[in-house]
Amino acid sequence: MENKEYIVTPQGSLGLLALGHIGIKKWREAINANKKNQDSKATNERTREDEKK
Amino acid sequence: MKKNKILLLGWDAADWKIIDKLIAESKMPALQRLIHKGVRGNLKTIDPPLSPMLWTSIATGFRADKHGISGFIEPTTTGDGLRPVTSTSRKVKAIWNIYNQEGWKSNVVGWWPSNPVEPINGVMVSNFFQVANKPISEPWIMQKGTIHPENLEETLKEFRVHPHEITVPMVAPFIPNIMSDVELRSNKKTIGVIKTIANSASIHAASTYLIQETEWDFMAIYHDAIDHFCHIGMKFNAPKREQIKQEDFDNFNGIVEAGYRYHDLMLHRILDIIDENTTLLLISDHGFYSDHQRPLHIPHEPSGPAVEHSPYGIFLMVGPGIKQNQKISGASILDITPTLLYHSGLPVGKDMEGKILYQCFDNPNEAKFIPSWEEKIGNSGQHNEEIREDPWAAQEAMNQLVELGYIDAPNEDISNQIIASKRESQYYIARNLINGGKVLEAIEILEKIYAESKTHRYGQRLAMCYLSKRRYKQCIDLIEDIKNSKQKKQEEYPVNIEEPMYLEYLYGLYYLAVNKLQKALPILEEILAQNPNNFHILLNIALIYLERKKYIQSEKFFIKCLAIDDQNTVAHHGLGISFLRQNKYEEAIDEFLLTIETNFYFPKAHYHLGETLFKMNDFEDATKAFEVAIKIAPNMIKPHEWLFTIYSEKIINRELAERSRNFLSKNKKGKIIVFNGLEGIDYSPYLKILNDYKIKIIDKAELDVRVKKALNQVDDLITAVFVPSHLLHFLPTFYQYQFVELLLPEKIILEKLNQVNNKKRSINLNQINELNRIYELKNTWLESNPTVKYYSLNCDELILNHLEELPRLKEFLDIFLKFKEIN
Repeated sequence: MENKEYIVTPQGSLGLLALGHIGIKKWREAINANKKNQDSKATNERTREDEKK
Repeated sequence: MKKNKILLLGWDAADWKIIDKLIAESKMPALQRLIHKGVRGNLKTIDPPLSPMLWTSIATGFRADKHGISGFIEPTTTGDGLRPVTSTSRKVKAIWNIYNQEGWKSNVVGWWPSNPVEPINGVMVSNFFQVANKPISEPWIMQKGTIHPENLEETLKEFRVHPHEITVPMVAPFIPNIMSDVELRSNKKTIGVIKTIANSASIHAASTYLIQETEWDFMAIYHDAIDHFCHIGMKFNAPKREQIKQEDFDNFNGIVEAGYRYHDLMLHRILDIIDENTTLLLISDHGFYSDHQRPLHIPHEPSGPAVEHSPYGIFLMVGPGIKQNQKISGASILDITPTLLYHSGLPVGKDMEGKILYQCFDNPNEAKFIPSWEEKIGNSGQHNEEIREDPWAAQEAMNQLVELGYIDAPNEDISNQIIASKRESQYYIARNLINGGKVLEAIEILEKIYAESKTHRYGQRLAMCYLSKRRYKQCIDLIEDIKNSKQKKQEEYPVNIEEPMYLEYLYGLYYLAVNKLQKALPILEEILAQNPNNFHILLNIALIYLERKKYIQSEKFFIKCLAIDDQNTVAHHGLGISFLRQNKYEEAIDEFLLTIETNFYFPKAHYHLGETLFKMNDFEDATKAFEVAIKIAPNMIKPHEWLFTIYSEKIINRELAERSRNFLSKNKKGKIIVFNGLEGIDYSPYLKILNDYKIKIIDKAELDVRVKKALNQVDDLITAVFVPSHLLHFLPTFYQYQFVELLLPEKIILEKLNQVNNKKRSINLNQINELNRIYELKNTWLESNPTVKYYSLNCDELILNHLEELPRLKEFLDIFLKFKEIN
């Protein structure tokens, strides 16, 4: 399991929880990254809308 | 030298019945691989099957009366409320305390109860670690006492998973319809599943971190999730039962299976990160009824859901020096600590109530023992003496302060709750004592709490205790008392449908115990008609037929029992006897072997296996079976009879034949029927009826003469001796006795005594005390001769209804006199 590669999504999975502390760390990182992504998307959209105005 | 590590992994309520089915479908691959590498077996639970008591027994090797954890709750230190049971109430050392004293480093995660954490040399994460009691928007504060050492708090708290973090794809394997049905997401059962997933993820994450990032010699991890998934979802498992709504069945029938598969994933991870020299024990504290054994109703009483727990948990041990791909039998949850100590090369406490499971090891060495670990001084990492306390004693002390006016009394509701909880806790201790064979101590507790509360459950258990101690009069008086109080209560409350016919059941058991089989049978059959899947009723009916030598019927009922519980040793054994007596030897052997496989320490199963093999002319194997029987039960007479025949006629061995002959000459003389009553009472009208019915009772002769005469039975005339209670203890031990008590109402006895003594017709206290003393002599004799069968002969009934009573008595006596092979 150690050497396998996993795609970690913010939705997570039981398999991820079963990895234990490493899984939870990666899952939270994915959630944070996703949040950052969404935040920056939102900021960009706002900037674009401001520019349009 | 570097020690090999030991990992003790607890899965509450895990059951081989469910696991084996999933493994057969390749749904638990990690566990499947592990089974082939080690020793597996059933792990017998102890009654009551309540997890905090059981996991403490597992970790200490003691029952609750010694270890002090007696249920789910206890009073707070201030005595003004209740709280979940805590580690400070444990009175003895846990395995990690013993390791601590020997310089081992232990990690303990989630053990129940382990809050507040103990200052051990290692890490302890308490059973409150994973519990989120606030919404996710509020800070999830870690309470003091959750982690030892405190400097790990910051790291470990990050691994807790809040239920609100659990996502729909995580729940979907449990409840697939959740993907499309949004309403289902707020269902109570779904929320239960979500909480359980989150809690187990937290425990698992803390465990994997500690396995990888800390130094340890011993680690204990406890997961309660399988128990929770089963309590939520087992009722919806296939096959669907009539009472279950189709919609609920469709939504929730996958919870249990998904729960087990999730645990297999976690196990896979654990196996990946431990080194190959680690010894792994995977255990559960009890099983969980599945399929048709599932109870239809959960009683509305404290710990009611425990009726879903079955008596066998799982045991699996894998590691260096452990046998591979083998099954063991006879393991109990009390055996875990002694076995771990033995495996670690440490002495086992002689006071521990479990045994070492030697059969797990490739080359077992001789074990070391010490009188008790409790007396061994050293740094055990336990709580300080000031913190450890018996919470109920502390509550009692608080009561005294209230009575003296130093503190305010808690409000009445809380006080009543505490009193009821204390009784309930004593009830659990009593059940634990019964389980440990300490019935007299249990009777003392049950008499007190029944008298205080008239709670039927307490009375019911007390009646069972009276039966087991052969206090038949007290038993029937109590049954009548429960009946009366039940009738009174029924005026206030509706009939409790969740305790179906337990009073009738008590009557049935009573008649069974006093060998009135003809009276017991119709009662039990009536109960069975109402409760067709009640295992205990079926078993008792099967045993009655067996006793009455009706083997076709007993076979039928034992098969019905095994259809409900195919692991029950009494049913396998009874079915084996039914086959044996019908000369179906091959089938009989199968049943006896199944009995032994489940419980090796069952001497009668070995004995009957030997008898069957003898009848098949396999004298060598028969000898082995009989030898095992007498090893387990050295005082058993019948194996010696067979062994004497084998060694003197079949496989000649004069030395061993002589051994059995000597044993038999010392221990076996013959069978005697004893009629018992009070000296000074004129029983002649009753004895005349018996005499007319060819039951002759010898009286007014010296005991020895009477005993000798009794052996000379002529044709169909049954001869018995009359022995008054005060002479019972002179009866020589080497005879087999059948006991018939002549019963008269106490009032009549006293009147008759008065007439005989020519005294005035009044009953005084001395006479009653004397009468009680005589009853006690009889009870003591019966208690100390547990193989003696008892029959109560009501003298009034004998006169009024002799046409019914006499055949019953004759049947009882005939079974004893003419039937030699059973038992």
